[in-house]
Amino acid sequence: MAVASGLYLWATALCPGQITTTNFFNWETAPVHPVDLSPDGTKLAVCNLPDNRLEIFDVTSGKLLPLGNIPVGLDPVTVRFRTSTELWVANYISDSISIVDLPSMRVVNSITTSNEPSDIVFAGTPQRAFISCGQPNLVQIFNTSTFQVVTNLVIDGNRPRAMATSPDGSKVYVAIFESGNASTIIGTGVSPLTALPRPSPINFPNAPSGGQNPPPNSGTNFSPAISSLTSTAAPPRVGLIVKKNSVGRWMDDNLGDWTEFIRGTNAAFTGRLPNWDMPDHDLAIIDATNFGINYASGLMNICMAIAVNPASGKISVVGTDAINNVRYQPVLNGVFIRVNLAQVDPLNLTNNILDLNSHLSYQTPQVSQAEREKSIGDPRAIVWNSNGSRGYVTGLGSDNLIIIDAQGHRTGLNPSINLGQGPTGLALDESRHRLFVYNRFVGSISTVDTISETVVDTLPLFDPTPQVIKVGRPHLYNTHQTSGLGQIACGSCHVDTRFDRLAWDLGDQTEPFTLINSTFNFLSPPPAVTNNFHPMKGPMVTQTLQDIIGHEPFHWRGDKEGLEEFNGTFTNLQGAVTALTTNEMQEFKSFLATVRFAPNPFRQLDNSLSTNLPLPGHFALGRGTLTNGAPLPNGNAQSGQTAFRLTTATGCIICHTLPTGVGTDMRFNGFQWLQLPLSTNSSHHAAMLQLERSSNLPFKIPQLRNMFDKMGMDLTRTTSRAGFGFSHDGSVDSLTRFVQDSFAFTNDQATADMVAFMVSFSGSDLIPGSLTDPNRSPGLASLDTQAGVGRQITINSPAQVTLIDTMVTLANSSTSRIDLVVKGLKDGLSRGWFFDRTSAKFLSDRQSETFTAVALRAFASVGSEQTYTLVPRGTGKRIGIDRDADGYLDRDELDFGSDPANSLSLATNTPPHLSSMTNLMVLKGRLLTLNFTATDADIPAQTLTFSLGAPVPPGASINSTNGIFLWVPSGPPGATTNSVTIIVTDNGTPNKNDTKTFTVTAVDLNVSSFNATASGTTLGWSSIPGQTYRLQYKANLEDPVWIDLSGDVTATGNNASKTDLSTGTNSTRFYRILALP
Amino acid sequence: MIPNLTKSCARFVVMLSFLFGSALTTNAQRNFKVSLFPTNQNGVAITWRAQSATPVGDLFIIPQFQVERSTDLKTWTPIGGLLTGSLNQAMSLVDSNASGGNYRVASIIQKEYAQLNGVKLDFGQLSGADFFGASLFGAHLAQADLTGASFSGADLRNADLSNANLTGADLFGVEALGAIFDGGNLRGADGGFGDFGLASFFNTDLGNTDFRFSILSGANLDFAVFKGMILDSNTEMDPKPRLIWQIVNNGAPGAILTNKDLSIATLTNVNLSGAKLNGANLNNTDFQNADVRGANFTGANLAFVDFRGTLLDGTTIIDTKSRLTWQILNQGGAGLDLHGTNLSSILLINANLSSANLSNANCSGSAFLQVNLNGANLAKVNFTGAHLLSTTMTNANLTQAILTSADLSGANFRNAITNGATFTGAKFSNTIMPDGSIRNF
Repeated sequence: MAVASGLYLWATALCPGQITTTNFFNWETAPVHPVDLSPDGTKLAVCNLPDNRLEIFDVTSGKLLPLGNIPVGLDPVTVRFRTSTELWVANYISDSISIVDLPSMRVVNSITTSNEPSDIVFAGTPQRAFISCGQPNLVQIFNTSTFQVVTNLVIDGNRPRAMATSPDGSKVYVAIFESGNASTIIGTGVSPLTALPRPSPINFPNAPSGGQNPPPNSGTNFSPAISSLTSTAAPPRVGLIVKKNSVGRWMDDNLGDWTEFIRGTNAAFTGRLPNWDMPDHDLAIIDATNFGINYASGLMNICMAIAVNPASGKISVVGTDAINNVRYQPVLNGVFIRVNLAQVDPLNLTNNILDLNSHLSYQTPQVSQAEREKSIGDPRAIVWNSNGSRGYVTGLGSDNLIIIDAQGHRTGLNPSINLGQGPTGLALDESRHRLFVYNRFVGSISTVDTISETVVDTLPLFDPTPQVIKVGRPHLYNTHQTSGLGQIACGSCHVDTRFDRLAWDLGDQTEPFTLINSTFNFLSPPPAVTNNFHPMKGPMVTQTLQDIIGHEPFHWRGDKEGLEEFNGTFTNLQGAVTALTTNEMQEFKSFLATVRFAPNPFRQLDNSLSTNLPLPGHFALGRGTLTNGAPLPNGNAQSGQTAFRLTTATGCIICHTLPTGVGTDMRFNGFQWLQLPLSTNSSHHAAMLQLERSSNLPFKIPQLRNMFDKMGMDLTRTTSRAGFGFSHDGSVDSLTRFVQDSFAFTNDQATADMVAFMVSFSGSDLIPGSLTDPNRSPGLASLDTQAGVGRQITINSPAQVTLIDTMVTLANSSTSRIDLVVKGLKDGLSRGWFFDRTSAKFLSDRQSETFTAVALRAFASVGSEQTYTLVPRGTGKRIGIDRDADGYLDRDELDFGSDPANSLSLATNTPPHLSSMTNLMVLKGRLLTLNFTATDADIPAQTLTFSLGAPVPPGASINSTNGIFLWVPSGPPGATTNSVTIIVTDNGTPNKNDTKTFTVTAVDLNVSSFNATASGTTLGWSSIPGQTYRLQYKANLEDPVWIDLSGDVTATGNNASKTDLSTGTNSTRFYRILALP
Repeated sequence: MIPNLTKSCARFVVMLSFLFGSALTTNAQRNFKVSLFPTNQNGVAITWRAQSATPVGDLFIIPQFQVERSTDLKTWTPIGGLLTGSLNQAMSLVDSNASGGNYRVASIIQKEYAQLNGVKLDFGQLSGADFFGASLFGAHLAQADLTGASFSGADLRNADLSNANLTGADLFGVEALGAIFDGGNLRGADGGFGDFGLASFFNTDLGNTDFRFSILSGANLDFAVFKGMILDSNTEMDPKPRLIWQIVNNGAPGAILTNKDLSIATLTNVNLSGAKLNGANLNNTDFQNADVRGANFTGANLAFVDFRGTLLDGTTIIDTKSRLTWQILNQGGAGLDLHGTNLSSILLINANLSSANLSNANCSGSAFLQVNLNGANLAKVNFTGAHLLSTTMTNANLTQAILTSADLSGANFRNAITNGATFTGAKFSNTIMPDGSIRNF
């Protein structure tokens, strides 16, 4: 089996026309505003995210008419018309804005932005472009004429994303994606490796918990009760999640009021300051003139999409809200997420929040399939009609569209309208009663008739996403398939495979211990039996799913050997009726195995570590020369790596291998590291550890590639953007504190260096371990991305550009993990080029056409701009010159007439194929009708023409269009054999045909024998096998009717016979033989 | 053995340095003089000078002041609000409603949640100060008077509180991981729910300190005074000090402590009568006034044990050297003939061996602290590596004595005979030589 499988994979890898995860990188980027209607209402622009293109359609007929497409940057997530002829496209991975001139269908400029440009709106006087940038929490403001940055606004919230403007254009509204929900952790932070966790205030006798840790969740009891199987050992002392209620009190799920410990006189015991607070900013309101910012709070924890009701002016935000302050999986089963609509008054920032799944009572984890189908999950788009009476919301996870009235209540002819997988963007063409929806996961556009509220058309886009991704995605996202109420999926918390920036206490006190056995790879001796994995594990922050496959075991504690062990989550936490089948789990796993970390924003273009990295948002703790709260100095990430690799007490490398940070998957035998064999389901054995600071509880050594994603919690000030930070329960607010509390760093520069390295972790190209170094094991590989990937520049002159020279140098390097592609116009045609390392030249999208870098640049001019883009190595040829990876280059295909966006459409003419035919025997004089068919694989479809080849039997003919052959054979007595040749010819270039010849033997119908006896009369005749005959008789030839002799005869050979047993004696009968049709 | 001996000596040295240091720290002036002057409107002006509660070189901490008045010296009424002054500022307050009475001025230090990481507050007069929730990471509070001060919820990690007086202090929920309390006094303090992991309490008085639900794991508790210390089942503490705490507070008559490690422990006044201590490690253990009658020390490590005042009798099973040490300490050794005796690795403090004959005795590695060897015969005695701190050897015969690598700090050799004596590698510090000169090197 192994050999066969290997051969199969080998064949797959080399099969032309295949798009695989080798030439397609999956960052699981989510669209933000991928569909936009032109101001004049005639054009629709759609971000074809996986194809890195902008698709343009004419909508004047009410039906989408493709006008063409324009290559933009990597992972375009938002398109906005600035005018009816100019579009701005936000490229999430490229960190760029493509400025598109619509009449000429070309990119005229590329603006470099900060990290993760997500949405664009135009507002203010003079008009400015406001661009939300997720990771650095910025809104960048650009001059729309000069494309220069006017200013950068820091948004006090995590990941500002979707945007809208007020009807008068004076305000810009920014939804904060990972806004949190004013929940936070009472934890114990992190201690040095050899120390125990500090005592928790949860254990204080005068605390709301009464000193009981974990506190009961239902009065004085646990609900459900603790299983007798686990009551033999006390649950570990853990942290506690509290949430601010509407009157500002910080409550646990058992009505315990912890306000005094969060912001009151006892705040010190939770590491906080008096008056500490989480503003829980969900929505930023920017004055487009003076750039002042206000915030609305208390909406939800993931603010996904935003729109303004034109009538009321209220800001509508849709998203999800988590009830992570409620503990334990049995309590949360199926009900832990609400899908909400918040309507915010822009004047006083008051809000009204509605559950968009008002049909759910959340009293049970499951409802009927019909009820489930009504639910919306993962809402990613909202649009209002012009009078504000109707809003439309799509569910990325529920694959549907719902309609709401002005108040936000569900309305419409049907509970919901089913769409393609992953509906995200919306554009409403009210004049034609059309609503256009981009279905991200299936790669199509649905057209909804807003009168009949039905999908009237679905237009597929070219989607190069490999099947392994498409097949597995529903297991993460689909809320109808994977939850009991239809509103929840894995992706509800692992949003876009990442996380929700929250902690959850998903203990299950009804479960038994998970026993620690020898399958777990402990870096130090495993803990005693009493420290088995207790089911009441306490709060743990949600972990990213990026590149988890191959880095097993899973969960913070490493108690899940592989993904398969999470199958119970579908039924026990999401309330699904059934868990995944074995095949479905494999699909899910294969999909997750494609999700990689995006380019690291803190590394250099060549992926190297910075020696002078600014560290905004990182502050000193006053333990070095800097005062508490002072900004850390710029960090030297290279020095940080050196410190990280020390094997002393301040080093990290003994536990955290490079390049991922997870523990070793090997075991040292005294001489060298040896790979541990994979276990069931091909799971790895990344090392685990028990440390004093974790109360001797075992933990998996975690990966470290998303540290910068976890910033935001702040215990050194009185306000905090996030409620959870680092470590398993999120109780460490900053990297500075993690480094200084864990490893006794006090020097500010050394701390900054380590922090710089931490935020620069993802991206590989770190110093590898060694098989013979007992302290620095080789590490598991990292599925990430070179930092320069996506970088763009557009030029309009042949002048030398340093950045392009650098790009070429990188692309020419054998180790850079970078390809370079160029898109632009040449001779008025849209062209593509790909830098080929072998020849050190650019290959064009026409076979055998190459240019040096200088020669290519020479074509650049105003009107023939060239956009250079760094792309992941292995993807350049596809992205640059062979869009569908079918081996036929894009321009060659266009020249030829084939479709460069269809791997089945090739720039060569494939002959048609005639259906098979056999030789025939027929009766003379009878009409022979044959219907010939033919197929042709060429795309677009060609016209096939049928004809007869010589010699043509006399009187024979064939319909050239439908292939129907007609002929009445004739001839002298006796069998005659006739050769018939059918030809089908396509109209390709050059014409190709297929020919098939067969013989038709025409025979007579003659009586060959006659035998009359007393018992009956038997007639014999020459026959055609398979032909059915009927014997008839009459007693007198003058009788008007021939009488059928019962029982037709179907010939099985060349002779047939029939006996008439009803003749009687001395009678006369006349017989005839009929050949039935 | 040497490391433990060093600690034993260190305890002694620390005591000296405290005295020495105290003499230098006269600038911290929590106490101040209050003057009263009548005003011409029947009022009283109360004046005093604001000064720092910490000495020069430290972070200035100027207390706030509250004037109070009483007519019966029992009930005190605040006059005005809290007053804040700058260093050396003359402070005054006029009580215009005076109708006769007594006045006092309270000096109040309120530093709740203050950012004081790494600050120097050594020798500070900070009694009663409120440092609730303050950040004092790595702060220097050595020899500070912190009586009754509050550090509840504060961050004292890596802070140096050596020899500080924290009597009655509030350390509830404090983070004091890695802090140094050596030689200090926490008697009666509330350390409940505190994190004292990896902290150092060497020779610290922890009597009656409440450590319930606290973390003391990895803490250095050598020679700490455990009597009256309050622990509970939630207190995280290493097994060795936990056992010592049990012995100290519950007594251990007849206890089986075979092969237990009770070294560097303060077991003063403990009842260990009849205890089985066979093979136990009692290196440097302080048995002052302990009752070890009937105890069995067979095979125990008794190096440097302090036997002063120990109740030991014929029923005690103990090696000859230790019994002799006990005898010297408790019954005197003047004039004893100890020639050729093995007295290595023993601890003698304030013992009298004047005129004793220790010729050819093996005293290598031993600690003779303030021992009187006046006129003793120390010919050919082996003091290699010994600590003869402040030991008097006046008029002694040290002919051919071996003092290689010995610590002779404060020793007095006046008029001693040192012909042929070997001093290679010896440490001289304030050492009085036979001719009366003082040597330091």
